[in-house]
Amino acid sequence: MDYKYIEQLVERYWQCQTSVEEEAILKAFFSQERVPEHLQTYKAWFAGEKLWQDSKPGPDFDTRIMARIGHEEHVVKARRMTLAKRLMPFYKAAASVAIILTLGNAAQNSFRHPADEGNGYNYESYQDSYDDPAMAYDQMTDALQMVSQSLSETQRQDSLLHPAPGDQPNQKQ
Amino acid sequence: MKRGLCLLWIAFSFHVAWGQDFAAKFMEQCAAEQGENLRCQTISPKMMEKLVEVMASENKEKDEEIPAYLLSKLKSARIVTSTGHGKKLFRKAEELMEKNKNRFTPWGEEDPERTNPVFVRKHGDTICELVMLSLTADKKNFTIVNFTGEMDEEFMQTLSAGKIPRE
Repeated sequence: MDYKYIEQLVERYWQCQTSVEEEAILKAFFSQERVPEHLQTYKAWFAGEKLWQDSKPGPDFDTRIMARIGHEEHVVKARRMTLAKRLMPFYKAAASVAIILTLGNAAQNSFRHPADEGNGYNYESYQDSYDDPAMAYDQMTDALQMVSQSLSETQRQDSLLHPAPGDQPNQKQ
Repeated sequence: MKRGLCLLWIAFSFHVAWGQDFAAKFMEQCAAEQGENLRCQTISPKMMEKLVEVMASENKEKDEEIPAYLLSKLKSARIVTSTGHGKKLFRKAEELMEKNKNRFTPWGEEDPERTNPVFVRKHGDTICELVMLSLTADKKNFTIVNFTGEMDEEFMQTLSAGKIPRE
């Protein structure tokens, strides 16, 4: 007898390619008393009752399967976003722009000629205390007078400490 | 966010600290603790230009009072005045000057007893900043006069000669 068909079915069964009908054929075949010797090894498998039990997965089936394949259940929690967090990208953008502008400004000023820039003073930050030039003039007069007086005194004291050759009283003629 | 704010703060402080004159630095250190006792009056380069223009065009009487030449050499002025704690503030200004001794050199012989020393910051042969500290005899009132500009030898000689009449 040719058992090629059965052998093919068995082969396809192990490759999980058989249909329910084909598996029923296999069951019927291996349930016979007389099974060829070279197929005896499969008898216990196909004729066994356990294989054909209409078993259903238990309630913990999903969990067990997921645990086996290494999947953990992802718990998605709702997070409350504060206004500061929402605006964070804007803060970052503003900070970046400010840094770039500041560094750019500093670099630009450092490359300028000192005479053009006032020897490195940031005159843009100077805020006038006077709107009226007359008051500013009076203030300048006072300031210049004070400096003038101080410089005169300094000069006088220095000349006493280091008199010029012509000013020395004991100088021999 | 903290990193961003930190960088922003650093950038801002760098920007503020850059290009300050002596008086501005002094005010930054002392204004908070002294409150209204300490005043700083500023004459910006724009106002200084106005003064030069006014002197050149209209006011001939004032032209005699301050030589226009002096103002033309100045870019800005700051006058810091205090009405108390003069000695303490004078010391603080001296300490600040000591910290900035690489920038400023004393004008004339250095004398620790002097109550109205003048310090200059030079850029080549030109004086770009002049600072005068002044303490009154009663040691109550303290003044800083801070000029910036391009002050040459002639400027200093004119001032040293005391050609500015007193009121």
